[in-house]
Amino acid sequence: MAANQISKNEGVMVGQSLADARLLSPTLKVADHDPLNDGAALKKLAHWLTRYSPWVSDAPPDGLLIDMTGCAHLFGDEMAFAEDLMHRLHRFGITSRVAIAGTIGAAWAFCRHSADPLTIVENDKTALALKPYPISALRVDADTAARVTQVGLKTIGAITSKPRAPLAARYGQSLIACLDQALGRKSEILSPITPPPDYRVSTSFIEPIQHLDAVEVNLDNLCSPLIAALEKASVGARRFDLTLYRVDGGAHTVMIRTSALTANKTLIKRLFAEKLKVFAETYDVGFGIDQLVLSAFECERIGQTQSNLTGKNESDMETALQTLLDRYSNRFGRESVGCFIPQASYIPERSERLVPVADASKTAPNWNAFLEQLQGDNHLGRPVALLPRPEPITAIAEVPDGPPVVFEWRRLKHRIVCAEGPERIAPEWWARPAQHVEPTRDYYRVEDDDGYRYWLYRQGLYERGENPHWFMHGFFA
Amino acid sequence: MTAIKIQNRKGEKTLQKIQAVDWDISGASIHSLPEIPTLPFNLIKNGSLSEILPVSYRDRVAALGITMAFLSAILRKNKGSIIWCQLRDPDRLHLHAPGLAAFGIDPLRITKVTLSTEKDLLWAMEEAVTSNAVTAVVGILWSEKLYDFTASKRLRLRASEAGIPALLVRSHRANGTTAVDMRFSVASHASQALSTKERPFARLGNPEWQLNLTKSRGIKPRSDHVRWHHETLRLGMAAELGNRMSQSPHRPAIRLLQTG
Repeated sequence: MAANQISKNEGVMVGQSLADARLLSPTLKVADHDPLNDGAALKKLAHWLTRYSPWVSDAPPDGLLIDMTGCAHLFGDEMAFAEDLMHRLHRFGITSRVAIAGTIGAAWAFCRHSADPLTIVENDKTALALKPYPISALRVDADTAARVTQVGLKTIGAITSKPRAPLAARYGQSLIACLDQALGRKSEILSPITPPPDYRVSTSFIEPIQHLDAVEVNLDNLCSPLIAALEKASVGARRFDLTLYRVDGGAHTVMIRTSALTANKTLIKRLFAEKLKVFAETYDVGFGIDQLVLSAFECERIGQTQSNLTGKNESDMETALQTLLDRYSNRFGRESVGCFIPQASYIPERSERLVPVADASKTAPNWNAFLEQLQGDNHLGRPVALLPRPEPITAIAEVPDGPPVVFEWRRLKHRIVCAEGPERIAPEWWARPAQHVEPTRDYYRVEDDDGYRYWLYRQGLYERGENPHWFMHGFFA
Repeated sequence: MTAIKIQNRKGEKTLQKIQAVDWDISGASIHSLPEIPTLPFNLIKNGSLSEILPVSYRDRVAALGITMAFLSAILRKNKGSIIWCQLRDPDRLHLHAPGLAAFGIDPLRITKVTLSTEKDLLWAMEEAVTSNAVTAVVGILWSEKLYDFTASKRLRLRASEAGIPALLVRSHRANGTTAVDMRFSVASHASQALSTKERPFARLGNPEWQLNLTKSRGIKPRSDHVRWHHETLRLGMAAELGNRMSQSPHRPAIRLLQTG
């Protein structure tokens, strides 16, 4: 499939049989084609390329695309940009060919078919420069390219001057589309692998840093300009990414999220410091980090908050709570910090839901209204603690559809003194899966002779001829 | 002149009040209603760390119940929310939000933080106490390895600095010295069953617990039989019922029909 330059110098070609290649170059190293890992490595490299521009995409099997609009001046000019890129890639042991052109199609052609490993073509000269290139440089499939070449149209220049309609009729619309895309007559979208940030600040180091403590120190230098930019635009962000670029071609992102829009430097720094502490336990710095990028996402306008005349803000406690919950979410994961939300269901285990605070809706749900709908005026019908899943018990009841007199749960016998019920909870026909029909449950609140209170239910009804089973579901305090 | 008048009026008013109170008490004594005394000691103080231990494994829910009773009182007095820290353990009891209504607690005021290690739990509790953002902090430690004198001392100091009550529910097997302000042990108690002749089973009464104060600063250890009143949302001393039926006498006609 592929051969490197050294082996090519010795006469090895792509498409040769392995025996021939071995004959030409006895020290040849052979590896199986592994498209899956190649793709992953390409993706990893694309992430690393975000140090040059936030707008990067991978073009399998072997290409990487960068939208470098407005990025070149950061390195001097386009030549310096490309040289820096090639130099770094060379250090990883990657042979690269770089082309800078006005369209994706043209860059693709120059990159793969130019004699020079580095080609820079200005916008207005694209059409002229493309002329001597073969048809296969147009990203058309090999079959079309062969058919076009067969009739003597060997270069791109040869088909640009020909009438379009016959070409399209004979070789398909794709040829014309590719040609137009290369010449910039038709738009082509480069979709980035990661969404580009709204605000971005970066710093690079001459000497790569080896410790994450140093990252934390440098974070301060990054935060100030970013916050200044946010404040100038009077916006706040909900997500901040700190990307660490390793010298050996890898990028890792540490993300923090806040529940409210923020442009508060101390908060951001604190959240990052805590996150980095956790991150440091598993992160491998490798040969060092040579660039840091801090970016802000999900930016929106923030209003000003007015403090009252006493100087103490009414919402101080609320802000403090939000900060606390943000810190929890960033340290332990969003799923770990939850609040209880009612869920419209009569089935007890489905009647509540623990949703992450960050995802909770702005309007507070009305528990009172929900509970009233669930159990009427009585608010004693639900236990304070539930078992993760109902556990089967053996119960003896006086009458078939009455509360049990004695039941055995976890090998302990309980004699029931007080009982209330049943509260019948039928399965919801709208939520019922087709093949598995849950039987109706009859719930009883019972108290045994030691004063422990349980919530039991009998699943299945005698009058329907079902075989009822008893379950333990919860505990009253 | 006017001053004296006002004083007189004041005097009259207080007199009326006393009389009114007197009348109330006499009224109560006429019907011999059971008196519900409130707890004689202020249970959970601000800026204190309290431990709640079940007496046995089965009393875990009682420990949760008494915690809820305490929280209910705290939430009624203060604004703000509660941080509830619990370890991630699939086999343990789940807090059931609809059940909190029995204690008059709005589930929205509780934020549950689920953690994977005890170290994280203690950290989260400490941070919550110092954050000035919450009304109370609750930690559930059904199994503990790290929590000891030092950890409890840290938590207590933080709580007393911030003036926020911290509650820690521990396992019945918990032992060792800890620097807490108050330690309670709780056991379930049979409730005052309301039996009627029509029903084979008595109805459930209000939950009752044996609440033992085993350690405290400034208060002697004591043991009380307490009852949670769903109607008034208060924890009170359990008092014996008067010798009478709790419901209206049954109608003999219907009874006859049933037996006949």
